[in-house]
Amino acid sequence: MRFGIFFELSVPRPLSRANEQEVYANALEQAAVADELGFDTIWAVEHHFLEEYSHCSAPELFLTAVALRTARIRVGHGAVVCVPAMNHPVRVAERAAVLDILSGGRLELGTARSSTWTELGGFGADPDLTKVWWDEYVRILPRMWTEERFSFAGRSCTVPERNVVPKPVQQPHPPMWVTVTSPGTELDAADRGLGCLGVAAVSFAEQERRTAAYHERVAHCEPVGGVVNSNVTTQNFLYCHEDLERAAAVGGGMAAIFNLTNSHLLWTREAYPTAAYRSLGNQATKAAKEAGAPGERAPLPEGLTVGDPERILTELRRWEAIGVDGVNFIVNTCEVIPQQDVLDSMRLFAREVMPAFRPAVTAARHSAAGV
Amino acid sequence: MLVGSLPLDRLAARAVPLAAEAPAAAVFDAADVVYAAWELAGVDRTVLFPPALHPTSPTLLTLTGAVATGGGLGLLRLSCRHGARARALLVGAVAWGSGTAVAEAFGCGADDGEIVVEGRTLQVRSAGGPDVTVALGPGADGERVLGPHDVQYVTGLHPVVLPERGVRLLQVEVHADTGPATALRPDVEAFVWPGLPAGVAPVHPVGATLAHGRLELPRPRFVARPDVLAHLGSEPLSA
Repeated sequence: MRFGIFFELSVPRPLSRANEQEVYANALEQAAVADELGFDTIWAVEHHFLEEYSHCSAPELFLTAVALRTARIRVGHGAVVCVPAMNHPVRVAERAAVLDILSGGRLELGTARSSTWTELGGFGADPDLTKVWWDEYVRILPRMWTEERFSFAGRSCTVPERNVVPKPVQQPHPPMWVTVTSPGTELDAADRGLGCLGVAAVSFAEQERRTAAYHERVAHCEPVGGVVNSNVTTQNFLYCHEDLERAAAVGGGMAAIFNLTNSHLLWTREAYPTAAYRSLGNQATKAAKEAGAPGERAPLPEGLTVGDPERILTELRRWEAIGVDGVNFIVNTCEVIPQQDVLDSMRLFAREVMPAFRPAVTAARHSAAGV
Repeated sequence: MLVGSLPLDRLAARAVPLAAEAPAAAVFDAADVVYAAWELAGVDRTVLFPPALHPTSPTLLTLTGAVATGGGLGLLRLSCRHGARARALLVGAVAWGSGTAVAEAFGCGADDGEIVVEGRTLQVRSAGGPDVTVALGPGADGERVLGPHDVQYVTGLHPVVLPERGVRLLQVEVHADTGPATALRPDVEAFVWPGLPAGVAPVHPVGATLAHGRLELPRPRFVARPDVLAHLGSEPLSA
């Protein structure tokens, strides 16, 4: 199983420039430590206008900074928004290729179509066209990376014959993913030979269903690119502490803040009548509905990778057992956990949990890092 | 996250006393069900909501209405959150015919007026009250037909005075059972609505729908204290 760190770059109020700078600095430090500890990938979202929830509006720049500070860890767009008003397809291909060069061939390219009215409305983008656009992007990006003469006429763009340069390092091109929130998107991913970058909080049962459906379908895919990515990852929270009760309080609190700020986003479906969005964001509201009475201290929900090393190991084994290839962790939200505590959590996880999944590799890496 | 800062005495001034804790359910059968949404601009969103509520970003001004043969009801609301749940705070209402009794029972504080839909023009008419004209035009891809479940009718909240609890936010669900909906773009040609909070006006069109069927306001099940957050101030109503 692979482990990643997933950055939203959420900023606590007041939304001062100093707070924003601190969030970026802390994230870069976390990425560097993650590289030393043996985490596999640093992922960064792309969001616009989402005050407090995410100030990661130029992930290609953030990921470049990560790449230049690290040696081994992969850098992932989680994900590029495939909406022409936000990112012309040619610019996506160009920036990705450059990032792949600057990182020495470590780019993972996740794709998405955005799901908030705040963002789509802010760019004047038609929500009803986002799925059409996304499908075009994932088909033409591999072509731009591999063809010397590329041309395309579609709804997302019209490009007369050109050579899109530079080309990426990875052959034939970086692995591609699609963010999976709504049920059914995993099938869209499978049909096209794209990896599933899970960004929704789902139960074991639902993830098992989606993973099984995905693997059954990807075996018969018509890949949009030159290589099939048949991996399934899921998103989770990470806070690891020897004291289970403290871990639950701190990590559970972090997850609760994330879920609350997420539920405050103005989802496209809520604002704009459309058939193009079937669900309300990443189901934070559902999680809240399943909680107990208001104010009641709830136990840690199943599947949440928050706790002492033993509990986290148990939960990760369960995710592994249902076919998940990787888990990407949110390690802080709005800086509610002090930076040193975040780093200590990551180190404890790397020391006590990670070896259970990759003993030989992890031991060597930790020895080198002095962990 | 942002928390409302509307002074409670100003909210209380809008609260309508209810004779009973929970009005009976109200149904508009065979109704034209209308929905239109716009973004606000140039207003501090937090001052529009009491401390129990959180503004969304952006804040939407929505008009949801039922136009039936015997009467109807139109609700003008602002998008928000109560805890983690999507809600809409009532800031204006019109009622006519059978809708007048519904508005009184629910404590909506509605103006005497009506919603009229003629072709692709939506109007809110009244004598001395709201005067709104909206051209419902095609979107970038023309008029779209949506399934009935593609339109979200968000649960509302509005201030009332309850016999024993005092000022509370009455939670009013909106259930629609309609045929296909036509999705349109709501371009405002005229907008006058006396009594709205300062700065509340439709600025940027988001979307609109016209559908036909049944709109129900079920018997309310919950109220909320306006002065504290959701997890501290949600109260069930007696069954």
